Amino acid sequence: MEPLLEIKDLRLVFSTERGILDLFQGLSLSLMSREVLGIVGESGSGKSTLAYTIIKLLPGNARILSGKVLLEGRDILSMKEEELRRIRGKEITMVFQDPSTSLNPVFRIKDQMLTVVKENLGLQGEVARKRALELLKQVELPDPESIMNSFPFELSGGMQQRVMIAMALAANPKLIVADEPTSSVDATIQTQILSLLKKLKAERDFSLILITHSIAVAKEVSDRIAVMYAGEIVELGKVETVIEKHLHPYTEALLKSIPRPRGKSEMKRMLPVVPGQVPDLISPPSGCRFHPRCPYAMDICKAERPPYFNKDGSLVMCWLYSEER
Amino acid sequence: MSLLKVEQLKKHYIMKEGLFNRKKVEIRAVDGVSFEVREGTTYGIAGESGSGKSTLCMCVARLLEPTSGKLYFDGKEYTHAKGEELRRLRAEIQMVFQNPLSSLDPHMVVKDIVLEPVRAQGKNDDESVALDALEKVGLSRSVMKMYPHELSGGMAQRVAIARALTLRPRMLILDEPTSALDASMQAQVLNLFNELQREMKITYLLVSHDLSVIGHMCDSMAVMYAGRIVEMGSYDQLFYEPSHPYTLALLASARFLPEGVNGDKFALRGEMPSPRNPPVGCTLHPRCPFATDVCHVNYPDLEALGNGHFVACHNKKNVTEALEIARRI
Ligand SMILES: Nc1ncnc2c1ncn2[C@@H]1O[C@H](COP(=O)(O)OP(=O)(O)OP(=O)(O)O)[C@@H](O)[C@H]1O
Ligand SMILES: Nc1ncnc2c1ncn2[C@@H]1O[C@H](COP(=O)(O)OP(=O)(O)OP(=O)(O)O)[C@@H](O)[C@H]1O
Ligand SMILES: [Mg+2]
Ligand SMILES: [Mg+2]
Repeated sequence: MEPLLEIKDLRLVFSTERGILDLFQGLSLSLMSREVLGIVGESGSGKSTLAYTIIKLLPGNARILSGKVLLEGRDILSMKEEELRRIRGKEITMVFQDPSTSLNPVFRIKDQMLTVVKENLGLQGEVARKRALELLKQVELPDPESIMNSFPFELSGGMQQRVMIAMALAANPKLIVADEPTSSVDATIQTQILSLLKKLKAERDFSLILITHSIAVAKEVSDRIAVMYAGEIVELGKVETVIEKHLHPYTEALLKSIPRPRGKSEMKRMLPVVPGQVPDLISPPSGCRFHPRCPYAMDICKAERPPYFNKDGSLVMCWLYSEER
Repeated sequence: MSLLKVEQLKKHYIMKEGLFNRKKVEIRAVDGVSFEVREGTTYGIAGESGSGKSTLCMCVARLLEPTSGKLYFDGKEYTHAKGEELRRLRAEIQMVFQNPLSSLDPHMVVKDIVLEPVRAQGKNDDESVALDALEKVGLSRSVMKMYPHELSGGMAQRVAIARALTLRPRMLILDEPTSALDASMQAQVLNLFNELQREMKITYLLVSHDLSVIGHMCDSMAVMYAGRIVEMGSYDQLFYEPSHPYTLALLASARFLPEGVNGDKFALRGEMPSPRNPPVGCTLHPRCPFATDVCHVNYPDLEALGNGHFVACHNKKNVTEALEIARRI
């Protein structure tokens, strides 16, 4: 089967006052139709930039040096603005972290929903209104009629986030990219939104890229997980494999550093921490970017960027898994 | 003996609304909260957004005037402490605020921010005091001259923690201290808190919506909903013998129910009620899978279950039974 989305050997840098920030140095990834891919990783590892690259909505100082982003074989990166407009919001839609910044505060939900429905589905009048109501029902919003007449500030964070999801679904997209969709809501609302995404995924035909800094959230809905560190996808595999049989030393460190409730009557303990700091990508470490913090680092790790190795069905960018070792 | 004792604390905000601000709306952010914290332990407060956790912290830190109720520190009442008494109290109780960036004075450099509490107490304000505190939270000398806007969220939070540490307080109030930090920074900061507790017997009041953090750090805890404590007790009691539907829902949403128990049964419907217009009876009843007729009428009292475990629910038996059954399946 052909993948829905394929990122091939993407190289991207930012020009900054301090110099060139070398973020992606050849990043590749593919996503199948109806698949949910969770992307996790430290702050600053490039998760959001990757999301924006997929819809080619990058800040002015970003430069793509090489690579392709193929949506069903068509290269998004070489498309003209007009062609892109036919893709953004229709074939690919985005849900952002903070709903209050992406909903327009001066318009009622009705106006914003109808715009999306009219533009993307070409519906008019009563038909458009019915469709908008249906979408609000699908995201399990109680009393959609009254929601339609509300302004965004009259809705709680969780309700706003569901309106955003309804709008993202409006055009029947092939791919939804959600960047930290649950970070601004609290635990019980987060659960509601994640189970909604799971339900929608089962009912409808779309793929989902879910970006989060929480492995627990990624685990809830994803089929596969990609772990990012300093602009690289260092491990990519099935959810259970990545969580239970993680391969990369960074994944191991990440999982170990997450606090967990103690067992019954268990003493309090210290969390293992990764020594050192996230590298400054203006002068990134040579070879494997994790090597200065890696407890298993070898000579080759300093010298050469590791390729991907295949292990237990996962891909891992780490010399520990080289055959010749 | 307990270091902190909170008795029937209430904080009601009065909001003026409508034409010419003639309509007054009362928001019962904290509505009769009592608990005690033993010296050298960590007391956790969990609860949904808007349940009154930050308001409670600000009252305990004497940064907000409570509407009613009493506060005791080390056996002495300080509910209305002022002047010199309040200044001395500040040396013993420090707070780290929920929003790191907005809690730092934008016109001061980090060094002065960190030294502010010691200066207010007329104590040694040598540069080394600031350096020492910053080092503890993993920041280097280079941040000393920076202004808050030059700091990332995570760095700002660590500066706020450093500032709270300079006076070596006996109690630290931590309002979501790690929610702005990513996984590795969070682990470092939580370790620091535990180390300080071991070394200096420091006492924490820790607010977090992340139950993993609460479950990792706390000796005892309370769960708040709509301004009240709905359940409190030891860590073991709340995590392993939860008796309130809301505690259960929180544990379920974080997947911390016993192995094999399907959390969907305990999920809540809908959202937190509007504080302007709370439901009659138990404030949870519109969302509660266990609600019965009585819940629509009366707010349940906090009842003792033994060994310091308290719960406010008309149907606590049904809740524990449901959990027992789910455990067996
Ligand atoms: N417009 C920009 N100009 C310069 N550098 C940038 C820009 N946008 C992002 N960066 C840098 O690129 C890196 C990746 O940033 P990105 O926002 O993609 O990370 P992220 O993984 O989404 O982090 P977070 O979890 O904090 O949201 C960071 O080092 C960041 O400082
Ligand atoms: N200064 C204020 N004036 C009026 N109402 C307020 C004020 N501060 C808080 N509130 C209200 O009091 C209630 C409790 O707020 P509080 O900030 O204490 O909740 P919280 O539990 O800390 O929530 P979160 O988890 O979102 O931080 C909320 O309904 C809030 O809107
Ligand atoms: Mg991001
Ligand atoms: Mg708060």
